[in-house]
Amino acid sequence: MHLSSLCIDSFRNIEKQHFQFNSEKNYFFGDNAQGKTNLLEAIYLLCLCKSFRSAVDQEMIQMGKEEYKLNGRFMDAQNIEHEVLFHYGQREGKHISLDGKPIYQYSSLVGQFPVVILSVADYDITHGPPQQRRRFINILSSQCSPRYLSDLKEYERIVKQRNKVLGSIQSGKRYAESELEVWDEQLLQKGAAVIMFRHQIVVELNQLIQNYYRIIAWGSPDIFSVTYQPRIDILHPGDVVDQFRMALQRSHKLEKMRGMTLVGPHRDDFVFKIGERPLRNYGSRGEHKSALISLKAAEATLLRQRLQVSPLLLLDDLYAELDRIRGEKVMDIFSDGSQCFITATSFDYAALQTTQAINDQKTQFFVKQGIFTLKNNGS
Amino acid sequence: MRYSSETVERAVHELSKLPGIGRKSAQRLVFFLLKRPAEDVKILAQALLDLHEKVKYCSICYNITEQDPCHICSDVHRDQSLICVVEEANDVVALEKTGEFKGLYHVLGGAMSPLDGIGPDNLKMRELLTRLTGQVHEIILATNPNTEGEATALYLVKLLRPLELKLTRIARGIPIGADIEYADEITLSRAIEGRVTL
Ligand SMILES: [Zn+2]
Repeated sequence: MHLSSLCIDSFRNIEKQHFQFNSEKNYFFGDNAQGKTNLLEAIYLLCLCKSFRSAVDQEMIQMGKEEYKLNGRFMDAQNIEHEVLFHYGQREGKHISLDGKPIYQYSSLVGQFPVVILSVADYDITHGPPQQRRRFINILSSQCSPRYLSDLKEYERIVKQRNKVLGSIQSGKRYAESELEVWDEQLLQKGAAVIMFRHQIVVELNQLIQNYYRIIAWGSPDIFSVTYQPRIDILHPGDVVDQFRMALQRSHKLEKMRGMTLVGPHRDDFVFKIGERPLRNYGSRGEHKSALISLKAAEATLLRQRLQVSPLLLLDDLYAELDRIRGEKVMDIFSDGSQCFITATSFDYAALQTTQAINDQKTQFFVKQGIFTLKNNGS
Repeated sequence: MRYSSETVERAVHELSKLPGIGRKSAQRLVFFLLKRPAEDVKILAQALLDLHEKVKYCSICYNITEQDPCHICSDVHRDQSLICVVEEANDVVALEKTGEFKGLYHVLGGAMSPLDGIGPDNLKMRELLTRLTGQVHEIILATNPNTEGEATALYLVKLLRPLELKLTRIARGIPIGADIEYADEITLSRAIEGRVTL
């Protein structure tokens, strides 16, 4: 699957721009704050209906404008073209359509055009608080399975409803006690489905990251692994509902005192280790970097395996964090049939040219103040 | 922007209180109505007034009706041993269209949703209990298959189980007429989950 063309209108600092993309590698060279990342954000938005910078629609409109529009044409594995239209206006709100048909549930688009991004913000996955790791697992799992996304959204809704009931109990409204049970039952069912899927995804990730880490960390003998740490013990995937039920019963008293749901997948964590050392607290800068790239490469491979479709790869400022030779090696691991969008500085451009890492076969754009110019091949 | 006519301003203000109608849409509606013949507008106004004067809730099933009890509750040919519990009057209309269901209904008037301040006491649950005399043998729970509808069904099960009635829940599955090939994955995976032994 690849993105063959893209039209951008009034998005961030990009006024009006039409792109034709190469199905393999597309490079975008320019200094900082010229619009490279904005382009990646637009592509990501077409794939997942949300920004990887967690931006709201309003702030993505170009200054002085009232709306932005994105129009992307994807070519699927069977060479059938799909058109995604994304329109946000201050008055009209958001409108998305696929092949001319309006999409009302944005979640139905997730997974149809799989995407993996690597950007500075992703360093939070190994460095940051648990919610960053849950976010990573959620985006990956949702692209793998629409059922997971639907279960997760229902679960989150149940948690909110249940917290409201617990809040009433906390403030002394006894009648709310009788309502708690029905939310508990649903919490268990949907929560168990989320836990079981996360468990499976972590098993699959572990099979991939070790190998990638060995290559990326220059043959490091250490083993990179991820462990799922749900708030409840799972001995066998089959008895998750029972374990969850017991954990919930144990925490009922405390939950009523605190007025909120204290156990369940909304409080899960995932622990990354290099050998026996937890990466988050004891990892060196280099280890974090190699771990993150291994994780992202595994994410792409997992999507490829599960969906039988190559995800789009958005690699933001790849060379800033890696030396250029290693950067090329990383690219080789990553690409594997995927279409790549790579942003880099003008400085990287000069260096890449001397190592002949890029040549005229690859599409190259130069970016200045939101204007992208295609490098004319062979002229 | 405000209008020089206080009447127009008041109409805009009232219309914009309706769900899904912002000030802009309300203005559009008011100007549309101003251009219509007076007779048409009168018919509309009367229809709105009649809503409150003529339409009431059936004192048995809480469906909307103009006569009490409603035509379904007063129909002796319907199966008095079967009650189908739904959230809204709209659901009765949908089920009646099928022509399949010959029992009675009970309209709860919504679903449990603590976030919206709706608990069992805001729904016609106690009223359902008072209807369960010896005649009724089966209750079909036909609340929506979403989080709130599911919670409401579970709550009713808890409430009704001691009465030793037959309790059933409508199945969720693939819409008839839709090919399995075209059903969305979520519907499909739930249909498989809810499969029955033949
Ligand atoms: Zn009635």
